Amino acid sequence: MSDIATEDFRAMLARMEAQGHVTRMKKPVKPQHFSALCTKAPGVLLAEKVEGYDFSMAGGIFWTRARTAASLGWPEGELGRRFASAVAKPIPPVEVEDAACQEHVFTGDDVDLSNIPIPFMHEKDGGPYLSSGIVFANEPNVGVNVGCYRLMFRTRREMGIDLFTASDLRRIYTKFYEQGKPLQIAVAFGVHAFEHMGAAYKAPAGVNEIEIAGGLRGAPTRLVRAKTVDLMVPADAEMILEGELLPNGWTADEGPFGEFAGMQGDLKHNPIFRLTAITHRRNPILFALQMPWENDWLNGPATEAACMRILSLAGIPVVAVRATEGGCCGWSMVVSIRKRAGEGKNAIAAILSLPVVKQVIITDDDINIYDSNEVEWAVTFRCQADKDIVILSGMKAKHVDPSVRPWDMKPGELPLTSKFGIDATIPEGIPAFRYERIVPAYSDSLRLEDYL
Amino acid sequence: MTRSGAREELVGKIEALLADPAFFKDVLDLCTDAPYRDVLIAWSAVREKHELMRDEFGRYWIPH
Ligand SMILES: Cc1cc2nc3c(=O)[nH]c(=O)nc-3n(C[C@H](O)[C@H](O)[C@H](O)COP(=O)(O)O)c2cc1C
Repeated sequence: MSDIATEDFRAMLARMEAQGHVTRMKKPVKPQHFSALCTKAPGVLLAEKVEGYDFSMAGGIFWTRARTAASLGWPEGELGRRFASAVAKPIPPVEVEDAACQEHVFTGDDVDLSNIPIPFMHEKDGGPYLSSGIVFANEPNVGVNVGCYRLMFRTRREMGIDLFTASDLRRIYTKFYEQGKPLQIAVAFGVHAFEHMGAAYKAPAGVNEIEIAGGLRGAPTRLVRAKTVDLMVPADAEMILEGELLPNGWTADEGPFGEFAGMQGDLKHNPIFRLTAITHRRNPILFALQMPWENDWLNGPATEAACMRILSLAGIPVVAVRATEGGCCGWSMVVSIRKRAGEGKNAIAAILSLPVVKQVIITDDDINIYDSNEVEWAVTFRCQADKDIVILSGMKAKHVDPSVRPWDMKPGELPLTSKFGIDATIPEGIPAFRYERIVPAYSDSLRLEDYL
Repeated sequence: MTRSGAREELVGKIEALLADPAFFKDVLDLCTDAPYRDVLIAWSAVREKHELMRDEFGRYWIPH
C-alpha cells in the first residue's frame, strides 16, 4: 500500500507543500478576504491564522488540473483512466473507535456555527458559505448516500442546503419530507481528495460513494460513529457537522452562490439543516473550497472516465481524453483516437450522448490534446465545416446554462439544448503524407545547451 | 461598551440597513470594525427576530 493510500487531509496538504504546491500566509486573514486572496495565489493557499478564530484555512487545492493530480498523487494525463479503474474496484470502508475528527465535541447549547470562520466568498452571495462539505445520509432499505452540498449560514444553529437539482439526496429528503419527518445527516469537511472525489461522483443509487473513495485510495476509508445521529463519518476529517434536514421543504431562502459554471447563481428556496453537534480536530483546518474550478475539477476525472467508457463501448480506440477548464471540466471535451473510417463522427455521437457534455473536438492520435495550439491546428487544417461539424438539437440540458433561456420555461418544463462536435481527424481519402509536419534538420542530434 | 452591548448595537445597525434592500456584502461593509464572529452572531439574531424578505437579485430587507 502506498503512503498516499493512508493519508488524511493534512498529510495530503503537507505532501503538496513539499512538492511546492502550497503558499503559506503568515499574517492573520479575515474570513471574508480569503477567497479573493486564493484567486491571487500561485498555489494552494494556507492561512495559518484566521482573525478571531482558532482555525487555519486552506483553499485552491483542486484549482487546476496540476493541483488536482498532485492531490491524488496521479499523473496529470491519467486522471480519467485512473478514475475509471478505481470505480471498477470499490473497497468497503472500515469502522474505527477513536477518531481525530472527534477530538473536540460540541453538543446541546454549545453548538454554535459562529465559532467556525465560515467565509463570505463572492460579492453577490446570500451569506457566508461552507463549500467543501460531503453529506452523509441513510436511505432506508437502500443504504448510505454521500454527495457534495454547499451550506449557507443562517443562524448559530441553522444552515441552508441546496437541494434544488435532482440528486440522490434530494430524492431521499423528498421521501422524509412527504412523511413530515426530519432526515438525519452528517457533513464532513477537510477530507482527502479521494473521499471528496468519491462524493462528487454521480454513483447509481445503492452504490456507496465511500466504497468508490476506497477504490480511488486503494485502501478502505476509516469511518467512526457520529455522536448525535445514526451515521458513520470519516474518522480523519477535520470537522463534522451533525443534525437533521427539517421537513420544511423548498421554503427557506438560500443563495445566490457563485455556481460551478462560473456564474453567480439565482436565489433559491430550499430545506433547512438544523445542527445537533459540531465535532472537530485539535487545531482544525477549514477547507474553503473555491468556486468554480475546485468544484469543476472534482468532476473532471469522472467525466473523462465516462468518455473513455462510452468510446470503448462504441468500439473506438481512444488514446487520450481532456476535459477543458474553459468548459468547466465537463461541458467541453477534446479527445484523440486511433481512427478507422467514420469513427470521428461515431466518437462525436457517443460523447455528445453524455448528459453534461455540450461540445467535443475529436483529433487523431498524433495531436497532443493538452496543447490548445495543436488542437486548433488540427481543427483548422483537418476540418471542412460543412462536412465535419455535427450539430444535434433537442438534447437534455441544464438550467445553469443561460443560453437555453431557462427563465422562458413553464414550471416543470425541462430545458433542451443543441450540442456540436468537430471532427478534426484527417478526412477519409486524404493520405497522411499531406499532413507531414516540418521537422528542423538535425533536430535529433543537436543540443542548444552545447552552444550557450 | 460590553461585548453583548456591542452585539446589540450591531443588530440595530443591520436592522436599519435592511429598511431598504441590501446585499449580504453591504452588511459586512457596514460592520467592518466589528469582529467577523460578532457579525455572524448579529446576523443570526436578525434572522431569528424577523422574517427577512429577498428580492430577485438576492438582496435582503425587513418589511415595514
Ligand atoms: C464542491 C461541490 C459542491 C456541490 N454542491 C452541490 C449543491 O449544493 N447542490 C447540489 O444539488 N449538487 C451539488 N453538487 C453536485 C453533487 O454533489 C453531485 O451531483 C453528487 O453526485 C450528488 O450526490 P448524490 O446524488 O449521491 O446525492 C456539488 C458538487 C461539488 C463537487
